[in-house]
Amino acid sequence: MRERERFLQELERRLPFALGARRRVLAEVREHLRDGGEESLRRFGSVDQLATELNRELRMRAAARASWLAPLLVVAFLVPFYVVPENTLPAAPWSVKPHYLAWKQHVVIAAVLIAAALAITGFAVGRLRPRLAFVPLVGSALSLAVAVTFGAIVAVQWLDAVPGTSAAITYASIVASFALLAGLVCLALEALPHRGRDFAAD
Amino acid sequence: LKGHLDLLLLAALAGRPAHGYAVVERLRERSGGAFDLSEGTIYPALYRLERAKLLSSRWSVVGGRRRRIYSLTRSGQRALAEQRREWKAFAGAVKAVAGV
Repeated sequence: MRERERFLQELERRLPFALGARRRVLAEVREHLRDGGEESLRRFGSVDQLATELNRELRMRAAARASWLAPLLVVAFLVPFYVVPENTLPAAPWSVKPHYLAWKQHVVIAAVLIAAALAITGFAVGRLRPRLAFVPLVGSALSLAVAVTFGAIVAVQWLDAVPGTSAAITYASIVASFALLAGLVCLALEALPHRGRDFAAD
Repeated sequence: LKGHLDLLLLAALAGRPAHGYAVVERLRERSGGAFDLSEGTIYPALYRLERAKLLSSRWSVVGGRRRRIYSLTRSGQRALAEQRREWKAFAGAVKAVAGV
């Protein structure tokens, strides 16, 4: 019993989270070991070899799942940085937006569009070649990082420029956008391919 | 043997969905103990076939225990039929050459 638990703990330690797929693998292996006992434990081979084989599959599953979720996160960015401010903050007092705000907003819009395009590309690649989905996903995360950074700067400057702007809503939007960015970075990391050793076929 | 693993797994699941342990047992029994594949080989292969949409899987309670049950998809059935044809042709050619 103790050896079986050690095996499972070691396997868990070596497998990626893979957006929940690891839990399923561990549950299956646990049940298998309950059926087969010591003999099955021996036949599973080394944790190292099993983890290497499973890592490859789990990474590809994670990439496929991440490619579904990434476009949603990019679209969700519009909530804290467009939908909420548009509907809760006071109207700007100027007829022409000051240049120091305008150019940064243009950067945000361009970066979001690029992030969305890359996320959609990742979605398509994730269906066909999950192994390669991490490339557009990493690009999407980098673009969104630019959008979030410039968006946060604009939001803080907006506080000073427009009287009556709610600091609470502004900072809540900034926190929410950084949370979305963190989510997208995690997805991109989950989709990174496994670089473990390849073992010879049985 | 690993080159024919897909055929063996698909055949083991044809018409009779099963969980991983049952698949290993089925392969061992049907081959009279000749195909003693290690568990460490079976699971990655099952996941790969599932990702290729040749297998589907779902959680099910069997004998009071929660098990992941694998079954062939339509694509899996087609792939199995194709691989059986190829194997038959290959085995026939080897027999003819070897004179057995």
